[in-house]
Amino acid sequence: MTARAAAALLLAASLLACKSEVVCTTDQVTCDGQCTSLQSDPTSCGACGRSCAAGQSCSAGLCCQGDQCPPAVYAACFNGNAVQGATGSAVPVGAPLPMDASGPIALAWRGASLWVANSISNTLNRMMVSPAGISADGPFPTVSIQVSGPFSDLEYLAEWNGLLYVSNAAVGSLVVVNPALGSPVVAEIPLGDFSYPQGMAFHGNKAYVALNGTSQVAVVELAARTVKFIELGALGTVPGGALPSRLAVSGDRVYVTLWNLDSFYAPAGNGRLAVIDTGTDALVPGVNPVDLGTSCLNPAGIAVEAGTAWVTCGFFPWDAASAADITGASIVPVAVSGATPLVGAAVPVTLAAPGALTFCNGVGFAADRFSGNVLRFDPVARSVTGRGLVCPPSGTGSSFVAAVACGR
Amino acid sequence: MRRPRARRVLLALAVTWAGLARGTEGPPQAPVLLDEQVIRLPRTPAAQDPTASATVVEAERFAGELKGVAELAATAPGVAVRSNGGFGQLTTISIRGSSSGGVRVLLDGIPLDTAAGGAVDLSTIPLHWVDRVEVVRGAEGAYFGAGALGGAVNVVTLPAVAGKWGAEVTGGSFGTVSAVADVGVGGDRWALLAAVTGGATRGDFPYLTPSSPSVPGSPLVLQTRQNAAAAQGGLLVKGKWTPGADRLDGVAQVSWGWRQLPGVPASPTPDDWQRGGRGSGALRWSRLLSSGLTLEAGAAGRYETLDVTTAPPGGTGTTDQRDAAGGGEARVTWEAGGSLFTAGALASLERLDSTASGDHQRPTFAGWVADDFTIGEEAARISPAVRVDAVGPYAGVSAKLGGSVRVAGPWSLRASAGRSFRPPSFSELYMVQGPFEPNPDLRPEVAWSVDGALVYDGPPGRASVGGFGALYDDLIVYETGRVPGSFKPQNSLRASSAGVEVELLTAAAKKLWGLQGQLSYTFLATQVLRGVPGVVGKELPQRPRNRAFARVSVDPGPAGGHLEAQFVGLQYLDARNIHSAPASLVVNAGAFARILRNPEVRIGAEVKNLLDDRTLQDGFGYPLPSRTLLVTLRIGTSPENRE
Repeated sequence: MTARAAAALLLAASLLACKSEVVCTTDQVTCDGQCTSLQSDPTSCGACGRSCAAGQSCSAGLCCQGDQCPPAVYAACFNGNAVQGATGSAVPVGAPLPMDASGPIALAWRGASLWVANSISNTLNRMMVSPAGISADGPFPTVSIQVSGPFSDLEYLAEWNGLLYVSNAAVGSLVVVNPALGSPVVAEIPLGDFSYPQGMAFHGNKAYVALNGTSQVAVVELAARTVKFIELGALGTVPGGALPSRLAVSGDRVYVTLWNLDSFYAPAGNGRLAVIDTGTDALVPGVNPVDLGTSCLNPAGIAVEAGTAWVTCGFFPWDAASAADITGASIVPVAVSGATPLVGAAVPVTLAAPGALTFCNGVGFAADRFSGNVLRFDPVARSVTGRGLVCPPSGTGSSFVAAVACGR
Repeated sequence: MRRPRARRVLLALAVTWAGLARGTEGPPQAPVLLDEQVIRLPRTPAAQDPTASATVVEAERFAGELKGVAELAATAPGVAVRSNGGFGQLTTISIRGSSSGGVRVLLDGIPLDTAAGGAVDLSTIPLHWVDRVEVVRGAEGAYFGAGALGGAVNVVTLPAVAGKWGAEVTGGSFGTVSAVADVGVGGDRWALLAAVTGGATRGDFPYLTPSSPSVPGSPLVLQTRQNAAAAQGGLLVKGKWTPGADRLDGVAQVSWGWRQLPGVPASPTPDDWQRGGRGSGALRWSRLLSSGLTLEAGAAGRYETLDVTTAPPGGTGTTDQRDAAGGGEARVTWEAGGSLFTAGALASLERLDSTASGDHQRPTFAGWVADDFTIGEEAARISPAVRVDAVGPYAGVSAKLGGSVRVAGPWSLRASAGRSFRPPSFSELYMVQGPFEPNPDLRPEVAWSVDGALVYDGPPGRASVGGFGALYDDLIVYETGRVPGSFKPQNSLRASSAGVEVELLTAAAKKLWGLQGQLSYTFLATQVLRGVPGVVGKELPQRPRNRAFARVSVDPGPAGGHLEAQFVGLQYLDARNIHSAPASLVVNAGAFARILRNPEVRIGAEVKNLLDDRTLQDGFGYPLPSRTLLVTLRIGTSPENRE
């Protein structure tokens, strides 16, 4: 064997090896060399190649028809004042669970219960999920968070170590709720006047909270309930325009979406990310801000899947006449496994403004902030593979899908 | 994701000219036989609507006390006050469960509501100007013009009385100072009053607030109110001239105010402030003819400015507003037999230039007829009234039918029913600011009301016990807009209110050190009949079910004093009735001593919030002042020479 032949064989072997080493997420398998979820793929439902009949969906690895499908994802319908389940194909399933006009804005699982934070009524509701569908777990509201005057504005809800954490934007605080107690509201951590706390993420014993009003991230030591602040004001195109919103943790870093708007709440430039080192609780030197590119305006949601942070983008003005007025709508991949975040090619999104984002068994679900759809997103194919009207518009024609959460 | 964080913006309202300088003295022989349907002591001219459920609050009874228009009005039943703090801070009222924007407020007959909408801020009326406050409850559009859904408040300024003069200075807690000087000159056929007033406060009172507002039972911490200073001043000139059978009344008012805007404790606004001014004037001519006919004609105008600065991060910058209105009115009154017939018409134009809603103007045309029949030597009376208002493109009819019958001796029964409407405001129609959308398709709000009462009016005093009901329909509220996160006004709310009103005013024991007593009580039950699902069937927020006021005073001669209490029951803070504010009780007390009788020199002291409850707040979360001491020194015409 000549050296050239040996090299050729080595190359061929390496190519074969590359071909066989398709990298899938933990919830995916390889079918015909493609990553797929046997839980939700109607062409490989429960097993590779097991296709569902026409019109059927694949949910939890079983082919099912319409209402018989258990929800793969739940959506908080802000304008419709309900929580609605949907199949893996983003088809509504079961009846919506009304929230009494309270403005459901965030969802979080705690054990077997799905919790919803209601922005307008300043309350939390606990729901039961069963094969029969979603239902109230006791009378609503489950937890009432005291208001200061008539103003209420809960913005986000998350569970960590059995406690619920609520962003209370009207007060500028992080409210700690222990549902196991008779008086469940156990603590309130001030985050600053007009700090307008929004999304949060956890790492170790710390919570990172996006302070939209003051362009900061609050680092909350959960045990001591002390707070320190990371300034992000300089990361916007204009002063005060960084406007952090949602966060995601990957490794020892926290990634924060920045709206990057001007004083009139119009885009001041491309959407941006801030990157925080959880070891130093400071901005990572040399990488901030991460420019998400011209295809991304007003970044809203973020979720990490298999070493990639996916960021949803899209801007619409207050006087938008239709979804055609949405600009900069996309889902942008940012490789976060290396030292320097690498922004990939944006996945374009048409006629929608994707916001909240979650991955369920390897399938992405993005909430449309404009017209009530839930978008089904394939992170491997890097494409939007479907959409369904999960939150029908209210009487005014408005429909804001505020949050999505995976089914269980 | 982007969601609105703009401040709540004051909205809504309408405008028409309801009357011209009615606060000045009427024609000297005005043939108006008014039923004794108002609580007053001593007897005073009655309100504009002769058979209405009304209370006339004489400022003289509260002489030497630093009470604003809202505090005086709050002594009447049916009235709920919203106050953002102490002296000079935003103060509005609602009547019988209406929104505060559904109460018509007039200063000497000149409407103070503007086309911008929202409630009239009663704190902008200098308190030293007030001679009396007429609180009229019910749908009163037939008498006070479009906009009076829940009722009307007519503030009557000091009369022009020749030879009357006075000066008063007040100083007290939290840097509060106030001064007024007034003088009346004149002759047999004329009188002129000039009054100048000014006041200021630091407003830095202590209050208690939860250390963690979201956690029930969290410890209270002591805070000092910041950014709550205020200052205001004004000049009032008022006159009358009676050459022969004619009479000419005129009034000119200029006032100016500045105040810091402190915000609520959970969201303080240390850099926010506002300033504004108002100039208004009215001229009225009247002639009493021998045939029992009285002719009146007049003109009035008003110019008002308001600049509000809200600083980042919570604020949005500066909002400026300029409002000008003017018009004329003619009226004829004819007395024949037991009938007192009135007919009138007015035309006016209002122009509003606002950075929030643009530059708009609209005319108002109105015409009305009213009669007041007395039957059988005033054993009974019936008072029908109809008024048609055309405010810009919005035309509507307001009507009122009232009656009373003397049952036996000092006892009588009265009842009335009315309908009013309120055209959409320029803010609701045109405002485009951040997430707020305009809605040019809005319809007027409508109110229907009924009430009835058993009235006693005898030597010991006056008392009444009555019930009322009201239906407010097509109320304009901000719903979610077409674009997610935006808000758009809609005619989506229907609500009802019903309740009981009790009032008692007695001087039965006046011989005993001049003892007087007053009691008023309101039970109010409201319910949302149409709206978003979560609020239907619930009570309207900021409408306490129970409210009571009680006062006793003594004035034996050289000295006197008073003790009063204001109780406000539990009230919901939100439309879903999940959150509530507890009941509160405020006790005030005061005393005075006459150092000289003629001229009268008197010194007085008043303690507000005597129990020093530092947890008091209004229904919108604004802390109210802790114990406040005010000392007043007054010199002026003796009581005998003031009449």
